[in-house]
This record gives sequence, C-alpha cells and structure tokens, in this order.
Amino acid sequence: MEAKHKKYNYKEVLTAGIFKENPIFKLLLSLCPALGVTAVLVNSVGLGVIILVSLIMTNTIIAIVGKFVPDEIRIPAYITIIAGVITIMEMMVHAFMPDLFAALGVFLSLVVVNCIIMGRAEAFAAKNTVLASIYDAIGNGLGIIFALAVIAFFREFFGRGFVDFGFFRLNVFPQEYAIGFLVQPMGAFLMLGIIVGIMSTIAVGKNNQKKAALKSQKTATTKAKG
Amino acid sequence: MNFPLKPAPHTKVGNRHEDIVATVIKAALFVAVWAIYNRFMVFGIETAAHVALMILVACTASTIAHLGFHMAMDALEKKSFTSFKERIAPYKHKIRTGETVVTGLILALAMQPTAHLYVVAIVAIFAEIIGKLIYGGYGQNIFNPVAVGLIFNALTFGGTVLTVGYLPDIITQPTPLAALTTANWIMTPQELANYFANTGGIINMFLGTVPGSVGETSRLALLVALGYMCYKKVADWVTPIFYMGTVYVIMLVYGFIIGAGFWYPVAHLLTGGIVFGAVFLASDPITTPINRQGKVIFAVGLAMFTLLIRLTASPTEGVAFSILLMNMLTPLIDSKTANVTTENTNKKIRSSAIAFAIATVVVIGFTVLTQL
Repeated sequence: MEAKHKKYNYKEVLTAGIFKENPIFKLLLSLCPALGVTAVLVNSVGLGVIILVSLIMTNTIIAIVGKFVPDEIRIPAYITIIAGVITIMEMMVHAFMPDLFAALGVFLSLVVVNCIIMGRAEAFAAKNTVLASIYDAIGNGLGIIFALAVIAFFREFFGRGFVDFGFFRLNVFPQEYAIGFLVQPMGAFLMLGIIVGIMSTIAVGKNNQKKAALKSQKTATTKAKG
Repeated sequence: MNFPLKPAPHTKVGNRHEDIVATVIKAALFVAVWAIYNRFMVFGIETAAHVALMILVACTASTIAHLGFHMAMDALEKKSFTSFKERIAPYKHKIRTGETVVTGLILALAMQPTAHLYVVAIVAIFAEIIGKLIYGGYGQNIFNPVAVGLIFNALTFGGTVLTVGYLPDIITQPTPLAALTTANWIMTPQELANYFANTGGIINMFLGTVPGSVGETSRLALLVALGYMCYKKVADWVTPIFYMGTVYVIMLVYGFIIGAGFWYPVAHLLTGGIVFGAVFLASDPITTPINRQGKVIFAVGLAMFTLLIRLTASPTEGVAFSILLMNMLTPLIDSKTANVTTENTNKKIRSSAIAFAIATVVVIGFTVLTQL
C-alpha cells in the first residue's frame, strides 16, 4: 500500500548497488562467485552478466508476487522462484554458450544460493514497486560485474602476466615472472582482502578529511564570533 | 618464589624493542657472513656473490615495502601533518631500529642459494606486507612473517623456470634433504652410512659445506646464533631445544622400528630447515606462547607437524607449514596455560609428557600406517 505512494530517486537506487552498497566490496555478500571463478576475467564477467539477468528476472517476479505471498511462507516461495529462474538461465547458457557453461561448472548452479539474489528479493523487491525493483536489480548486478571484473583483472594481471579480454590479449610481462599464487584459489582470498582493505582505507581517509574540514569550519566560526 | 613468566617486551631484563631487533639482526648477520664464507670456500666466488646479493636485495625490498606501505596508508587516510619533519619522523625511527630489515634478512637466509633475485624481492615484499604490516606492524603479527614468505615462495615459485645464468653447475646438485626424500626416508644402517659418506660426512653437514639453503646448512653457526640470542635473553632456549629434542627422540624410536639404527635421527636434524626453524622462527617471542609451559607444548606440536609433513606428505620440507599451524594454536595454548606458572611442578611435567606421548604416537602410528 505504502510502496505505491513512495517517491523514488531512481538514480540513487541504481548507483547505490554499484558503489555505495556494492554487494561484494561493501556488503561482502555473494563471495562464492567472487572467490570461485575470478581466476579468468572473461568467465567472471560472464557469470556477472548471468547474475545480472537472473537478478532482474527474480526481482521483477518477486515485486509482482510479493504482495500476495503470505508472510509465513515467503522464503520458500522466493527460493522456488529463484531456483526456477536460475534453472532456465542454466539451460540457456548450456544451449547457447557451451564454452562458458563448461568453464563455470558448478558455480553456475550455485547462483541459486547466491546471497545477493535472495538478499535483494527479501530486502528490496518484496517491499517496493516493480520499476524500482528492476532499477535495484540493474544496480546490484552492475555492482557485481564491476567487483568480479576488478578482482579477476588484478588476479590475471599479476598471476599470469597477461590479461585476456576475449577479443584482445594484453601482454604485460613475461609469464615466468608471474606470481602464480594469485590464480590459485587462495589468491582469490588475498586479492579480495587487499581490495576491500584499500577501499576501507579510502573511506577512513574521507572521514578524516570531513573531520578536518569540520574542525577548520568551527575554528573559523569561533574566530569570527570572537 | 620464582615466577618465570615471559611476556613479549622482557622488561625485567631491560630489553627494549630496539635492542631485541638489533640482537636478532646481529645473530642473523653472523649466520649470513658464515654462509657467504662457506659458499666462497666450497662453490667459488660467483655463488658467494650471489648469496650476498640475495641478502642485500631482500633487505632492500623489505625496507622499501615497509616504508611504501606506511606512505600509502598515510596518503589514503589523508592524515594531516604540520611539517615535513613530522611526516618522515616515524620512518626515520623505523630505519634506525632496523625493524624494516629483519624479516628480509632472515628470509634470505632460508631461501635456496640458486633463487632468482626477482623471486627474493617479491617474496620479501610479500612477507613484509602480508605477513607483518597488515596486522599492524612489528609485535602485532599473529603469523611468523618469515614462514609466510617461505610458504608463498613454495607455492608460487616452487617449480620456477627462472634461472640465474652465472652460477656454476655444481650448486644445482641435489641437497642432502632431496636425497633423503627420494629414499622415502626409509634406510638401513648400511644405506645411512653410504648416505653420510656421499653427502660429505657428518662433520661437513654440521659445518655447512654441503648444498642447501643459504643459512640453513651450517648448524654450528645457527647454534652459536641461538646461544647469543639466549645470552641476550631475546630468545628463550626452551622452544628451540625442545623442538630439536622432540624430533631427535621421536626419530630415534622410529629409527629403531624401521631398523635404521642409532644415527637415523642425526640425519633428520642435519638436513632441511629444522635447526634453522628452531633458532630463528620458533624462538620468535611475538608469535609463540608466553610462558614456558606453553612453549614446551608449542615445541612438541611443532616437531609433530614437521615430522608428519616430512614423512607422509608431498612437500619436501614442512618446517614453515608447521610453524604457521602452531602459530594458529598459540592463542589457545596461551589461554590454557595462563595460570600454569603458579601450579605445581608435577602438573607441568605431566602435561608436557602427555603432549610428548601424543606427538610420538601420532607421528609413528600415522607414518607406519601409510607405509603398510
């Protein structure tokens, strides 16, 4: 009832998922694909696109259905919807992109239990209008693609010595100098940790700057008063 | 009454942070100089020069990593400084105390003398930043930075294709450790005698004139370094001695079971990094338990994991892995032995004996089971 009268700032809904509430870097959700498939840039962007499309579909369906589903059974209902959508996606990928299907393996099916899809359904789509939910899905999906691409880019850059964009291969340094640790599974934890650490340090810096600005403002006002 | 409680900054003996670092650096430098001299006498000037370069590169890389990390943090956090002098003051202090160098120095000693200088630099930077600085710097790390660097080296550059062109061929001959590993650690007394003869004899292995890691090979220099650190009360003798002693006793029993004879445990102590790990990694006051009861349990567990990895797992050397495993257990050991200094001696002896018995049974049982 309330949702209809709510006014949305659609730009804010869209950008919140990409930067301010980035699912992987800020909320540390959906880490399974972030750690599992980011050894290769092309695969991780492929999985990101799959998550984006499935997120749009689930968010739309759940925004429509959300008002009719009784509260007691909403989680099973959402899980059924999500599982159905992901199964369709999986079959489509298997049919039209067999290479990607083979590369992703089990991680494609694991999108069903991806926290961010369930999380957006529960936290946003169930309470808001269809259009806002679609915007939210696009924002969060783009945020996931961005995060996966960043992690995979740096892992491939340092771990292999080249970055494969699919259509173009960027050779950076000879392969025997590459730090192979980073393309191994534990390298994913390390790279994710480093990137999250850098981002939180930047946040600390912004806070410090704000504090300094406030301080100088206060001293200026007291001086003006004096 | 005597309460031998030993918290990390040893205020009782007046050792400050700078003194601890300086003592460790002096001990490591002694081992380094001995290693360079050894390489010069046995393998020639090229090898000695390469070893010296390795040590230099490692120290430089870890210093640059340390200062670079702090500068990057200052820049990202947008800290405000009133003057340039205030900005560089902490860095000057860090360089003067030598805490930026100590990780790289010990790390260079633990690496193979054939290591490429690029590998040395990358591993030193990794150990300094991931092993130490992200936890908050010297004294805050939960894992031994040198062990972190060694494992990173083993996982990343283990099968490296990088080679150093100017080294003579003799240095790439198999180390005594590799020879024992290819024999699957099982030997008859005759084979053992042949093995000692082939590798140059027990005396040479003790003095360090055999192939192996830079600082690991000379057991004499390492024991002198340990003695110096214990004399300065920077290291406690309990962990290293119990570590080596447990390895010796368990392997003595195991040697009798497989019929290898009395000298079998000596082969274990004289190959690989057990003595090095005991002297420079296990004696680190930051990442090991605080009181002596905890240190004994730590050392026994260390010996257990080292021998298990040696005898049954695929990596040839398990010292760094076992150090990290026991570092993880250090808070648990500390909490369980918190009040033990005030309890009676019988209880301490009993718990040490239980730890020792568990270690012996696990190592021997597991090894014998896997070889059936």
